Parts: sequence; C-alpha cells; structure tokens
Amino acid sequence: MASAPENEKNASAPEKKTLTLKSMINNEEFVVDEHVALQSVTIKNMVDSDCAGDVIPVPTISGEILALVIEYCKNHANPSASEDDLKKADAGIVAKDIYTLIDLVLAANFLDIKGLLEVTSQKIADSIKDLPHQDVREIFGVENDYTPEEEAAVRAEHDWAFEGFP
Amino acid sequence: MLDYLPQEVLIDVFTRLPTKNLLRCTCICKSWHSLITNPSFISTHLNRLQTIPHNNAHHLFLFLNSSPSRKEEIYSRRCDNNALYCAQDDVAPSEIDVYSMKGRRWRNISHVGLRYWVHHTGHRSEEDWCIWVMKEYGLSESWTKLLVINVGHSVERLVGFRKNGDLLILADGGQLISYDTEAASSTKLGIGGTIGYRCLFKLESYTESVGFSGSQVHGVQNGVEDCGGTGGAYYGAGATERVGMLGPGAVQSV
Repeated sequence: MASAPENEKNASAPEKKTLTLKSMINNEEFVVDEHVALQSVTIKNMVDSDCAGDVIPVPTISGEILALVIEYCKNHANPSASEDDLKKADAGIVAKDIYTLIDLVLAANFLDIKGLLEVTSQKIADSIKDLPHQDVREIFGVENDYTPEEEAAVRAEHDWAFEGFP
Repeated sequence: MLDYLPQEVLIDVFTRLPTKNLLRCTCICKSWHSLITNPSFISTHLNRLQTIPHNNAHHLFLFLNSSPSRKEEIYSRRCDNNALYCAQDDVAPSEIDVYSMKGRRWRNISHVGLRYWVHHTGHRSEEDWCIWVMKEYGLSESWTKLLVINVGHSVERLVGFRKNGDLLILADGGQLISYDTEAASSTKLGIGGTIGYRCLFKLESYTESVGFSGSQVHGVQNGVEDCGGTGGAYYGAGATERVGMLGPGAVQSV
C-alpha cells in the first residue's frame, strides 16, 4: 500500500460524492463524504428535498464542535468498525468538559443524530449527577427561583436523596 | 427559563440520571421540579431504568412478613419479561401476580412460569439442597439440576438470591445467613434471630422511581407504602398483606 504511487491511488477509486459543511459561527468548512454526512437526519432531509447547495451552512455550531460531530459520523460510517471500537471511539469523543458536551448535545439535537445525542446525554448525566446545585444551575443557565423556605420544603420532601449531600 | 437547552434534550439527560440524583435536581429550580415530577416523565424515566441491563437500578430488598397467618407465600417479580427468580422450599407457586402501575391493577402472570426452583432433599435439617434451573426458559423439560449445596447450618428455608449471587438462607432460630456457592462458605449476617419468632423474610426486586415520592402521582396499593425512606419501590410483590419492615422502618438492602 505504502509503495503505491500517489497518482494510481487517485485514479483507481471513482470520485466519491462529498458535501461541504460550513460552521456559521467561525466560517470553518469541512468537506465530508456524503454517506458520512447523511447520518444527520437534518442534512439527509435537506439533500433529499434538494435544498442542499454545494455548501451546507450549519448555524449555531462552531467549527470545533462540528469537527467532533464529523468524527463521530465518520466512525459510525465505517462498516468494518466493531461495536467495541465504536464504544471506545464514542467515549473518546465525549471525554470533554461539560460546556463542550452541552454544545455537542445541542449540535446532535439540531443535526438529528440519534446515537451521538444518546452518548452525549449520558455523559452529561454522568458528569452532573454529583455536582453541587449551584454548579448545575450555572451549567444549565437556570436561576434558583425558590425562596429559602420553599427550597427547604422541596428538599424535605425527598430528604433521603440528600443523605451525604451538602 | 429553558431556552438554553431544548426541553426534549433536558428530559433526555434527566432520564439518564439515577433516581436519587434526579430527586435532588428538583431543588435546582421550579421548572425542573415540575418537569421531574410530571407523571409522563416519571414513566419515561422508569422505563429507561428498566431497560438498562445489569445496571444498579435494580435493587433487592428484604422484608419481613409480620403476619405469618397467611398460609401460602407467593413470590413474583415486577416485570413479566424478566426471568422470574423464585426461592421456595417445597412447591412452585401456581399463581403469580404482578401489580401493574400502569394499569393500576393486579395481573396474573402464571403463564410465565418459573426460572429457578430451590428445594431441599430429605429433611429440613442439615441436608443437601438442590438448585434447579430452567435452561430453556419456558420449556419445562429443560429443568436441570444446577448445584447441590450443603450449608452446614440447620436450614429453615431459602429466602432468595443476593445481587452478588450468594444465597440468602434462613437458618433455624431465625438467623439469616449468606451462602457463597463458589467458595461453599456461609456467613452470618446478624439479621433476625429473634427467639420464638418465626421470621418470614422475603426478598424482592425493585427499581427506584420518582413516582412514589412525595404525596402525589402514584399510590401504592396493598403493598409497602413506606419503603423506609427510599424514593419508592416499583415491584410486583404478590404479598397482599401488610409487611413489616426489617428494623424500625428500614429496608435492608442486600
């Protein structure tokens, strides 16, 4: 393989159809094989209904996140990848900080990629489950709208769940 | 409030949290509280927990039947798709019921049959016990003797299987012992042992659910109303009598 001349490699394979995905956040472009990109139901619908031009603009998803999404799609488009390989690869993709995971889950949701949505949601759940409440509020951008009395009452309702929890 | 993360994504994350952690999240803010305590979310969460194989969502708990007047004991499991574990000393129960939280009624699942059957040979003393397994589920010809054990104690009856695979055995005198089948060794658990009191311990499987906590949504009928402070147990106990808890209101997790 390594000894094969470069031009022979180009000549032997018929040209694969590719799509260009463009992050509208930082204008980064990614050229992806069509069958890889079609794992996104959103992109598939666009292609099927002839709404996709040469460049598919992807709003609200940064290049960094889009690269992760494409990595996921590439792995899962590889027919020779074993289930174990995929699991390991998925674990690598979601081994990120919580804010990247939130961006990733939003991207998976927007692009409608079920498997990526699942592994990312699971990782988010695992990452937040033992965090202090104030950290969780910050991550999810929610405010504590309880009065201290109300919060104490809700806590008392499920006091067993708070054993050993600050 | 939830414009940051679409609600369906948030719900998906929530369904992946263990019950205990999820309940804590009700304190985050009011909208999270209403999402988590919503009946349709509760059943989604429970379904997710029950589809995860070999996770820690399924617990076993041991309870003590305080009304020994009941003649026959019925064992059952919460889900009729699962293998039905049964530890009964003499005969297999002919009628098995589960309480369906969805349908709010008892359902007969006798047709599902048994998977494990434990019985003793000879006298109810220091004799050998046999454990049979139905190798091909549902096929009665496939009953195979799995192992023969000798606990070394005087055995009253087998209570059930622990999560680690050990057998939970009620010895004479009401002491509970745990029997490791591989090492063929038994350990006294220090539970029971009340003299003059014939303890009727039972072991049941349950899944924690948000549904039983608080004052709303699902009521438990016939069974364990106060599960010793757990979030609630979803299980199909065939017991229609009141059950007394092990210790003062505590469920012993085994």
